[in-house]
Amino acid sequence: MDGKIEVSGIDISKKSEDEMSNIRGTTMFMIFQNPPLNSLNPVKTVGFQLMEAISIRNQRNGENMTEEQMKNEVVETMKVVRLPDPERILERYPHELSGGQVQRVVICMALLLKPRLLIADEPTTALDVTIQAQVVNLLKELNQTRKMSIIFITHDLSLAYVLADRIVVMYAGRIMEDGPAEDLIRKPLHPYTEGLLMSIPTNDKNAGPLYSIPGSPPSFFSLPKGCKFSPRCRYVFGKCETEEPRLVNYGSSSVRCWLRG
Amino acid sequence: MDEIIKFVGLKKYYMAYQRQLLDVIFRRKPVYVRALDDVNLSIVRGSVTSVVGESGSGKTTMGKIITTMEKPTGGTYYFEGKEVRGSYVEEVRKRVSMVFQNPATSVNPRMKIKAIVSEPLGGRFDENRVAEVLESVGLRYSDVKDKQPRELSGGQIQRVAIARALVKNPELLVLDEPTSALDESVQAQMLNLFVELQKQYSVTYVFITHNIAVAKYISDTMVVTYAGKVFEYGSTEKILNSPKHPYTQLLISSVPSFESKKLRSPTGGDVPSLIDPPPGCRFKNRCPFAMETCSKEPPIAEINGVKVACWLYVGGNAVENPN
Repeated sequence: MDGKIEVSGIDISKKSEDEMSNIRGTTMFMIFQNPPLNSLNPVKTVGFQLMEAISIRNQRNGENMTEEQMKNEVVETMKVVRLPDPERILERYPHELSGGQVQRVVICMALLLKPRLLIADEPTTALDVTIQAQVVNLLKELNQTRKMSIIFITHDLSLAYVLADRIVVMYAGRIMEDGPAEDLIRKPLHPYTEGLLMSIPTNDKNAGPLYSIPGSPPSFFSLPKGCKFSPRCRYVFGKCETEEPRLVNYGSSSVRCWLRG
Repeated sequence: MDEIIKFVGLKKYYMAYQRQLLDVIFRRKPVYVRALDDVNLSIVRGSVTSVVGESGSGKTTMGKIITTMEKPTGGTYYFEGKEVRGSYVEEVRKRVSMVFQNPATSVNPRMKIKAIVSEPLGGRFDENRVAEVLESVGLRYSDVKDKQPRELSGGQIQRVAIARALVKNPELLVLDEPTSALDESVQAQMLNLFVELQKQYSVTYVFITHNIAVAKYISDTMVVTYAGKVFEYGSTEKILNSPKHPYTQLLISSVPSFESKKLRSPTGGDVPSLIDPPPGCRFKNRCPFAMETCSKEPPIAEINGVKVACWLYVGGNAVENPN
């Protein structure tokens, strides 16, 4: 691995595994795509796991809390994420809860740990849209009230637009475009972003076929030369196929495309 | 109007766990998961019907019953006006086909593409037919015939799965979330392909999806399912323009769009458990319009050609779009 990753001023790529486990959870916290399967311990109750989270936080911050105080905080936080009947849920095991509830338990754990950065990897794909709306609104609220930064990983551009201030579009392991959500959606700079936006169905089939990006994403074992999107790009010209463009600033955004210099 | 499929009071219950000897001895009642409960539905030949709803609402079970992979626990399933049972099951099976969500797990990784596609023909390898369907889904027969699935991309494997489903010229095709496992940039290609194939083969589609935008694009009629029940059923355009059932209204307003950065967040509550669902309307614990009568099973009302299972529209108290 090359380069470095700085999280609030600390280069985490040089930390040892021991030091990292101190940073994980309280500095940054990750929510995964399929919470019922891999985010909670299936043989411990929800209550046990949430109490564990809070005692880890106290240990790191050198705080002392009684069992009673800890439990009160857990119950209060569960109300924040709108888990119905917190006292009953505390006694349950993860498999007794629905997917949406488990996801909210995981978010609740994140709130108890109070991380500065929350990384959410497609946290709503396993949920239905009505529950997705609840989770997204909750995340927005937390971002505003607790000043918690969020990296939200998704394939749904409209969801990204609703949630984010800034959108980064990636393709074949590279950042293709990075800019304020409003600009990126209204005036996409990269042909890939433009293609993605155009291929979202908005009408019915009688309005004619959808625009679609030809071909399929490249395999990492045989990446094309030059710009990685060039074989599928409709504006492709000479330079694109031989030389890979660099990520350059363009207004308040940055973009990796020869069309934009 | 030529009905190809009709469900009357259809039920599908799964056993929640295997009954043990002790359960039999003590005559404990078996516990059922009510995946589909009392569903009435008819599908017109040559139409595209989308089935929308969240995971666990019975969409896939419906597809499996249509393709006879599952036998209904109760009620009747008519295919072309004839009840599907006994020896007719075999015949229906020849005339319906299904495409699954995840292309990588629905084809045999060890088989060559040409063998995968010709498998439904039952041992008889008809090269012309295989080549023809593969070309019609946009693959070059000479390029792919001897390849194995791992040499193809996800979108290409899904095309192979579609070719396999079409090879016997089915009258009805069940597509179970056929685009959700694919890359976003490939989804539009697949949707165009489905529309084209439907014109070419004049096959009836049952398109299972949770994506409202996709349902809007592809379907003529729409079925909204929730916790094993059909809540609303009728023309896609009418339902999307003026959803009647409170759940459909909620569903449509929770879809994120580029128009607004605000997302309407529904009232709390959760989907009821299918093991022992509360009596009456299954949505009543989350419904903003819940009333006393909702603890009784809602009858089906018809408004402007759309069928709605909600007490709001029963008798004279129809409310025009309470939003």
